[in-house]
Formats: sequence, structure tokens, C-alpha cells
Amino acid sequence: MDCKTCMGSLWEYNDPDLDRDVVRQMNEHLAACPACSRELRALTDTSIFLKEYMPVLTVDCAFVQATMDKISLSESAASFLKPIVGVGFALSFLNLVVMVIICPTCINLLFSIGAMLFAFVKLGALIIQTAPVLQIVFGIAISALLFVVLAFARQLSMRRIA
Amino acid sequence: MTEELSTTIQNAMTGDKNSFTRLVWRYRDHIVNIAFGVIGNSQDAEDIAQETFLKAYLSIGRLSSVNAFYQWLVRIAVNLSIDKKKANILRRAKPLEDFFSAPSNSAPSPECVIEHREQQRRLLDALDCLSLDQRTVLILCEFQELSYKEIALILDIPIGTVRSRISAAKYRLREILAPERS
Repeated sequence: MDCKTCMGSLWEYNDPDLDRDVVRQMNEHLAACPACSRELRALTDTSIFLKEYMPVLTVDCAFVQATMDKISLSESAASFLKPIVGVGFALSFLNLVVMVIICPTCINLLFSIGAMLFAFVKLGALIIQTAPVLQIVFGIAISALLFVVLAFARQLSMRRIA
Repeated sequence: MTEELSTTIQNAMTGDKNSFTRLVWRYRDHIVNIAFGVIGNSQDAEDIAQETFLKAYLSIGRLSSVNAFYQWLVRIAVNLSIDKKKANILRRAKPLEDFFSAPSNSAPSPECVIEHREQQRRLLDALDCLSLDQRTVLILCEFQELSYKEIALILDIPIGTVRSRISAAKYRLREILAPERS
């Protein structure tokens, strides 16, 4: 066995499952090679150091109690959520039935309403992000528009009454 | 596996909470130490151990065999610990110097305690220099004393990969902890 092969297997030298023939060859090489022997000692020392200084945690009954409390809490949360989730699923199913099977044309309408709402929200967000002066101007414009619409509605209703 | 343990696991699988509590009692230290080995922080390790048992309780009904319980539990703990460690690395959270076990002799001197703590800190720093894969495999092999086959099953990797990771981890630690001999 040469140094390269021996060095490659030194880490498992103390492994009881290592092939006996390999161990014999390694022993022969180690007896004649001080560098590999030094490496083996260093690896063994490292293993001993790991075993000696690795912190070992022990947890008491408070840990078990806290764990079981968490489990109980999770169980009660699950039992609370189950009916809510059930109702949610039922409503979604009902919605699907009404929208897709009973009234397929409603979907286009809903999409249009949704798109309009989205556009308004986007516009609103844009206005909030801009300068306060623009917000005031936009507020006045909206109020004026509202006033005109209301006045027109009033006039229309007055004509009908007349 | 003893018959009593087998019965306890069987009962826990049918939803018996008392049996599951007994399993928590039995495996609590193993799981906490695995999590600590991977994460390197005792508070996070306890949180992860609790989460492990919670996850195990919620899905124990899906466990295929009683004999696979321990490996399955360790797999949950390892996966959660790896996720936590990755999150800590992303947040660049440094482990708190909160946990140091005392030396094994009965009445250690203050100097001995300080020395022991320094060596523990040195060891944890050295473990931090390993990749997460190497560290996980080393913890399971060296400290939990699981066989290569068990580790391969737990991590779902070939045995050859387990061996190469352990070898790489040991040589790396040897470089860090005993540089004077290189």
C-alpha cells in the first residue's frame, strides 16, 4: 500500500466494519511510514477531541410539557378551523356552480367589473403616491363631476315629476 | 426494539396521546442534540425539537412501519434543523454563547471550566467551517452513532456519499483542530 491510498483510508481506520485485509495492509504501511502514522494520530486526536468537548444538552420535563401543550394547541386550532374551511369550500363550490354552470355569461360581466375596480384602485394608488397638490386637484375634479351628475339626475327626476 | 417500545409506537400511531408523550420522553435528548449539532444554538435546537415532535404527532398515522419510527423522527429533525440553519445563515445570525456543558469531573476548578468552555467554543467554530451536508452527516455518525446505512436512509443519499462526506468532514476538522501536525 502506498501513502496516497493509506491516507485516503485513515479516517475509517478504527471502523470495525473495515475489511481485515485492508487493515492488515494499512498496519504494514503505518509501521514503516512516520508521516502516515502522524496523520493517523492527528485524526484519532481529533475524534477524541470531538467526543470530549461536543456539548451534550439535556432537557427536563418542562420541555415535554411545553411540547405536549403545543400539540394540544395545534389540535384545538385544527378542530376550530375545520368547520370554517368546510364552509369556505362549500361556498366556493356553490359560487363555481352558479357562475359556471347556471350563469356562464356572468363571468364576462364579473371580469369587466373586476378590471374596472382594479383600474380605479391602481389610479387611486398612483394619486396617493403623487404630490398633495395633485390629490387636491383630483379631489375637486371628482367632487365637481359628482355635483354635475347629481344635478343632472335631479333635473331628470324633476322633469319626470312635471 | 423492545416489545414495550413497539407497542407504544403502535398505540401512538392510532392516536393515543399518552403513548406519544412517552415517545417524547424517550427521544427528547436525542432530537435536541441532533438539532443542536446541526444548528449550534441551544434555544433554536429546543424549538426545532418541539416542532419535530409536533410534526411527528400530526403525521404519525402515515408512518409505514413501527421499526422505521426513529429514523423517520430523525429525518424530520434533520430537515427542520437544516432549514433553520440555512435561515440563520441567510440572516447572518450568530449563535449565542448560551450553552456550555460542565467538564465531566465532579468538582472542576474555575480554570478548568473556562478551559472547557474555550475548547467547546473552538469545536463549535470548527463545525461551522464545515459545509451543512458534511456537518449533518458527521453529527449523525460521530455523536448519534448511527451506521452509514441508517444515515443513508435518513438523508436519502447513497452510502458512498455518506462515506465521502464523513471522510471530508474528518479531514477538514483535523486541519482546523490539529494544524500543528500537518
